[in-house]
Amino acid sequence: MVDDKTLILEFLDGNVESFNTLILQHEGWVHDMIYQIVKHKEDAEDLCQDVFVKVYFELKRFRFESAFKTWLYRIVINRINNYFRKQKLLNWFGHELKEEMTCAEYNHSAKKDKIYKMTYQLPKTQRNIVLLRIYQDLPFNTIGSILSITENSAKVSFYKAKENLKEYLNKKNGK
Amino acid sequence: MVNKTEFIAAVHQKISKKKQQRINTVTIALSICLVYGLILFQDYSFSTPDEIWAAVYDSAQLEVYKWEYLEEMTEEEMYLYLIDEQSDDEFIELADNSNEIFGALQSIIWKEK
Repeated sequence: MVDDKTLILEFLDGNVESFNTLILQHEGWVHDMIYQIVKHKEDAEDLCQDVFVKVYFELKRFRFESAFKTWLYRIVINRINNYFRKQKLLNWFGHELKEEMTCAEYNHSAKKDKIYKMTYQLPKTQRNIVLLRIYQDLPFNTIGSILSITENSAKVSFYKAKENLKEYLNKKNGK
Repeated sequence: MVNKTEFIAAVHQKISKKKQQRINTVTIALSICLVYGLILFQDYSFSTPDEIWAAVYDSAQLEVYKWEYLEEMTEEEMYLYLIDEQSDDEFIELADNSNEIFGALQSIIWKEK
């Protein structure tokens, strides 16, 4: 496995094959992360492709100040947020939000899904932290570097997010 | 996920599409600028930059009060105006290039005080 930096430098030198290798090295986890949240096969596939299109055009601006994976996480999170914004807008205009899950999948992830729907009521930073912590099981220092905040802020925001989610849940249950 | 080769092909297809979109956007923007420019200057044919500026000023519709508009000056008034309002250098330069001013100077009957 070639390291990301070498592949990126080769790609910036004009080698498209290196870009393809970079895609192959990361598309697995990118796709899994998106599908876990979006829960729609075609849309997850489409978003995953969009992420790498964005990478293709933005890679020249990557300064190697963080790990490539951290940078990629930011793009993935932005794409997912855009996707849900678009879905919300479609819903506003009368389209139903897409739901495509088998019964087994639903039972398995019902709890996470319920939490996820509630995360959309959280402020943006808190929502992103919940996504990365609950759905990706990432440590707080990594979350901090992805969202350009300190590890402590990430912890505090996650705590606040949990409190907010509890409150929403209580309201929903009529407590 | 569909097989990896298909995935890479799909990504490259989207990249090409986006590149094409960017080219189209630039082309459309340039075309709009060109058409706007042609509409703006369609009545004019220019040979010098001064003519372009003159055309731009012509297109601005200026309104002036009657008292602001200077009546045509007599030759003597013109001379006195030039003496009072212009610097020596400007006056000499204007007089050199203008038969009117030269004529005005000639027509004045100088009297000793």
